[in-house]
Amino acid sequence: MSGDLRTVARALRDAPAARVREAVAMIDALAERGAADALIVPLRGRLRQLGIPRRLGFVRLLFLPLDSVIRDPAFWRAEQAAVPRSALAPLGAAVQAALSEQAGAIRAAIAAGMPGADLVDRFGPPLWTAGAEVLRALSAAAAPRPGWDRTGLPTACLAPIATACACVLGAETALRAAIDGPDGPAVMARVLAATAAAGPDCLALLSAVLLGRCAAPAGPLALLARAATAAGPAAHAAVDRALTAVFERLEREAGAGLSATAADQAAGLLAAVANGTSPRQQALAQAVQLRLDAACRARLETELAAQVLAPLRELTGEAAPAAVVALEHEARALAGYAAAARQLGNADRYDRLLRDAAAAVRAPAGAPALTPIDRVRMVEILAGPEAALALLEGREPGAAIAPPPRASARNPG
Amino acid sequence: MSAATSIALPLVQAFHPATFLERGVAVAFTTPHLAGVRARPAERGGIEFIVPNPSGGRGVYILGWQGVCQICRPTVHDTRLNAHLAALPAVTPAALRHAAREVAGEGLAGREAQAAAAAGLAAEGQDRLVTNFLLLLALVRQMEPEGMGELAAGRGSAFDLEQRARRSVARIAPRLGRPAEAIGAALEELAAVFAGIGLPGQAPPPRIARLLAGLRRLQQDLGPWVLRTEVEAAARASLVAAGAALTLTCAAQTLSEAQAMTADMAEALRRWTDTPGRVAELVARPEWLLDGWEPICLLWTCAGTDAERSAALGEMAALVPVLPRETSEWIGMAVETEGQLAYRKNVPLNHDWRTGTLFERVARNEHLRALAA
Repeated sequence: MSGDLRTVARALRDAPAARVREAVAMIDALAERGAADALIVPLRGRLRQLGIPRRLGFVRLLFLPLDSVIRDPAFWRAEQAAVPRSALAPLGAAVQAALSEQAGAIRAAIAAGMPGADLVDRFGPPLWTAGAEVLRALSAAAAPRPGWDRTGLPTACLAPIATACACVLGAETALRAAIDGPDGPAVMARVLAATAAAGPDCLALLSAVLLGRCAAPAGPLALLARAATAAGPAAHAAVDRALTAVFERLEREAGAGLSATAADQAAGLLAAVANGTSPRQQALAQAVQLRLDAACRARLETELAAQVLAPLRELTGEAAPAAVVALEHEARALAGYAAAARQLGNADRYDRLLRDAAAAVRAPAGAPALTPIDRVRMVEILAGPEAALALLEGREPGAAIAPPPRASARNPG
Repeated sequence: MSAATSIALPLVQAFHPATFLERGVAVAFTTPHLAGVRARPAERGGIEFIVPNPSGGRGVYILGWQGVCQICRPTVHDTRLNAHLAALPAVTPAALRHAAREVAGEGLAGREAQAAAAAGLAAEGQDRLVTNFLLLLALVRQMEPEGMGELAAGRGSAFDLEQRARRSVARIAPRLGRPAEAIGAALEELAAVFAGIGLPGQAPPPRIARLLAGLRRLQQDLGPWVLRTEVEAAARASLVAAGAALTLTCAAQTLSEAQAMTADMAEALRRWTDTPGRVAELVARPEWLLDGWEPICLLWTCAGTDAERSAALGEMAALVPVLPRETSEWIGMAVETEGQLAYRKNVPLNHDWRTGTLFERVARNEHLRALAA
């Protein structure tokens, strides 16, 4: 990365969410991203945390089911339940070449501006099924792929990576049906048994995908244990590898700040593992939980100070409506984040952080430009309606509800 | 928690209202758990709320405000709105709309809703002015039809119109046994009552005409969705589209009947003088019929992608208002009013607050408040 780009990247890393969103949209809209793509790399964690969607291209759509297990190649190891990011381009190019008609339709839809969610709905399932077949053939051929040399990976890695990716892509449609459908457990058990038969690497990668995605992972975890028991000790080790990979990802994301959804998923997974039967996994979960909880609280404290309290203090004169709306948006996102993260433990500490922030907003110097009603709303977002109502009615929290306002003189009939 | 914790929830009830008043009026609450809640006068005075079963199952709870506070934490906006509702002399869609606008005007639903409340008030005033003018024009046209073509085409002078209006009012006053000034005042009162529905072809379209157009667009948009292969989305779209079609038919008929009154202004003024309550009731019928549809239309409008529309359909289907049996009396024919409660919300228990979605939903609802003001 050039010096100029490095400066821009640094500025973006610390920029407000709205600025990051604009920059990413601009980069994603470029026909040839070239060096600008490097700006995205350090932002990946922040994009996830802020929930900023990326524009889908063919390769991104193809590997969407693997999104949670894609790793920076610099940190990827062969025994991990993960896929190095650098492998996606040559594998994606191979699929694109083999499925030229399908790829053309997808490219046309992207060029026509079809929204990402609709692209996934319409083109995703058939692409994943067909893509899995292409990757399996590629793996069987064991021939070098053009562009593989640029991945920085040994040629020997191509076949196992392609096989594991094919396994996940091939199972995606069934997995979606299993997660959402009425016959979920039965369908999932069949998918897991078939994947376990394909080998431990496949099972490890699919397990990591599954555990990283389920809102309620207790059921899938039990099914995985059952499938592993049927398949043998290597399968048990594969499930352990998957859990380790998921926990590593969570901790890595916690460094940049977990999103509310990720914190909720993490809490669900940790609870499921803690209630499971493997003492090794339980110990691992306990340690991860402590670290995640600490990271989430640190993020909440930092972000409250930087994104809400400092801007509120600095806002002077008559606050522009857009500025108030933007600050409310930040506060709301952080309150939502706290609601998700408090499941990781120490709920009262999250509440205290929010109450302290609300107290700072209540103080005149804490938000000099807010109107009294703006202040009430900010307190409501941070500390809840009871505290806000108390502020509105000029009483302390916990007092009785004040009488209603004057009767309306209107009777519009 | 407050003393509300000591209150036991009543049993869930089936909801098959006989009259529109029993069905209640949709309340513009912003608390996500209070979506689809309606208010109506309680038997023992005050207001009670009809709350869709929070479990997502069939039936409703009939609760006072304390009961509502037991099932969720209402926003400050909603607590204030409830206080305003409790002070209302009558529960009607218009009264609740005004109360909601007053609370939004305080800023408790955010700056956007506050600005929209002010704009809504101004638009309503504009509707009233235009309606007043058109009622006067109708009166003149009926009293002095000669030369009206020129006036209607905008070729007559304002002075000419004023003179004609004076003569028309002076001519009609003795027929109604009222002084001319009282006729002028009655016209203004009628304009306030008619402002929402306006006169046929009124431009810019008044509130009810805008709502009808929005509902018609929704019904058209849902056409392709009814035929979709995704069974659940198609079923939901079908339910919403059927409800919209039925409501459109009924609302259009009652609107025509109400506007038809202005075809004979002398008779309209006489009816208004003799039985103002009856006239106001007839004019209010389209709004009662359309009550609750605006947020449904807005949910659809705000969904930008097919995936969002598919998700919105779940919420919309749960909000479709049930038509009471009184509808048949209003439009003079049998109306199928059962089978509209097929869908309830489909959110896994506690999922929304665990993921922080609840906070986003409040913001979304405030945005809808702004669009509906």
